[in-house]
Amino acid sequence: MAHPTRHLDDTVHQRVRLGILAVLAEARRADFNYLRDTLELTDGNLSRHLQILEQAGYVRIDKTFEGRRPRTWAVATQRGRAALETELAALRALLDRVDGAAPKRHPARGGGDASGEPGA
Amino acid sequence: MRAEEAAQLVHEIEHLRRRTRASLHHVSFPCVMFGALMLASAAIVATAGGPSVGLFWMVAGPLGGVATGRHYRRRERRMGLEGPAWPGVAVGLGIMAGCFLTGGLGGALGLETLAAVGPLLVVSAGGLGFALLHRSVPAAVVAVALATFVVGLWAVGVGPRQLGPLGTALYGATLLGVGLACRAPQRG
Repeated sequence: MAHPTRHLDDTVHQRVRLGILAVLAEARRADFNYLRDTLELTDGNLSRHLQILEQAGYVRIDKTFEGRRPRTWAVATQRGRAALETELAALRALLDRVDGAAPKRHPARGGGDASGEPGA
Repeated sequence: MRAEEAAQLVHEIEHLRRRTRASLHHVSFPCVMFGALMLASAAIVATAGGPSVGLFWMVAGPLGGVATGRHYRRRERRMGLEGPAWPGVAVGLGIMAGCFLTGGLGGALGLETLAAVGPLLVVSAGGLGFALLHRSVPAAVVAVALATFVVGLWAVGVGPRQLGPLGTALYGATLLGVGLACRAPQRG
């Protein structure tokens, strides 16, 4: 059976990008300012992460106008939603693996490496 | 990656998802509005009888639904976070259809218990639907408790003529209370 880390996706695994997908997975769409404020990011930082997610096909960017004000909306694609679920499943599998090994190797939960190997 | 980091990441993601859901699914406005409408409806049932309440809901139901939709749309636009609209609309339409069906059938066939209890149980079923959409255990508990209470009243022999206004007033007061209780934290 493949080790759970094999299911971690480098694009999604990054903390901020995981956060963006987590918000978008629960909504139809979120605008740039909401994401920036919720995730406590700078404009430039959020732009960069959205660009990476868009290039990977995980997020779609829609630009609209409200009156004369431009507004940028981010939408999670089906692929993005699936990637988030896969990432969460992989993280939980890692934790389960550690929990399974805990009685023998790790007396305290979460006290070791998630690979399941002591000191790895 | 260490286990603490994985656990922290999962915790953060779940927290963000819960927070996003809470931002989207605030229930104050529809609870206050439909609670007040149900209290008005209870007064009409008690004074004017079933047919008048049917007319009342034919006007108040769709208007309330449209007002709720407009409220959510304005709020989501202002907030910058939009949720999927159709599941809520589907549950709302289901509640309206179910209430008219059970209330109307009960009235037409002379089944007073169906006319009195049917719409209330439909509202409870709709409440369970909303609880499922919002993944809200308290909403599910309230919906089941109200249905259980109404069925309990019927089981102990409360007649449909008392059960209709009593049950409607109980649902209305509960919805109004829940809506008002939710107002303060949502403003904060």
